[in-house]
Amino acid sequence: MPDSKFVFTVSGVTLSEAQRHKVSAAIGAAVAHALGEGSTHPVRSDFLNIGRIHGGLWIDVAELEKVGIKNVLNSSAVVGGARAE
Amino acid sequence: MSGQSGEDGPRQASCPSAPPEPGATLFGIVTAPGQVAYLNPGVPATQDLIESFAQEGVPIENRLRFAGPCMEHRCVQWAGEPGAGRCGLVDRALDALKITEGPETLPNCAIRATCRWYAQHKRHACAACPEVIRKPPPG
Repeated sequence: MPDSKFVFTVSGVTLSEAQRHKVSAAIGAAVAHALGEGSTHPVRSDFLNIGRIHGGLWIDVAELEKVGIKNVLNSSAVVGGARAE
Repeated sequence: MSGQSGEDGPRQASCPSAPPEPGATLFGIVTAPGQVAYLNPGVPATQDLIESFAQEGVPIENRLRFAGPCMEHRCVQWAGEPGAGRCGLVDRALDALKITEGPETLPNCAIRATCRWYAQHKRHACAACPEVIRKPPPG
């Protein structure tokens, strides 16, 4: 599995825990933006070609074909980490 | 980071398909269909971070992967009784994708120690994980 590791050193001063946290978060955000740059087009995965996840909600394919996606989503509760949209 | 807990209590399981909201952890970028660049450590998802991706035109729930606390029986994906069930989403994913073995080497994933999917299926879950996208393309 290829890994890319980045090291950044601040030397000569003692950083507070808050400063360390802030720097770490900023570096992480910068990396995420660099990797996500240009990712403006939605992608489809193999899993989505088999089933459907919409906003984290699994939708049975047979049910989907029978009643249509909007009806399925409208009849589903919005709960926790998996919500219909 | 989500999925962490205090020193004394048991670790809170993490959901690797959590909604993008403040308090969640950005742990992966979908770089291509079925391919995720895993970030370690995960990046705290602040409102500013989420909005900055939105301003760049990134379809957040399609191209970014967030982790948050597993909601267990309060989630529509939960299969079984409160406190005694499992995540049905990863079960379905492994079944649908016909995954019978995991990758030889695992990604350097920030949430593995608490990942609900990994707890259920070990490295097999890591084979399905990159295929899971919260929100499909429109149409």
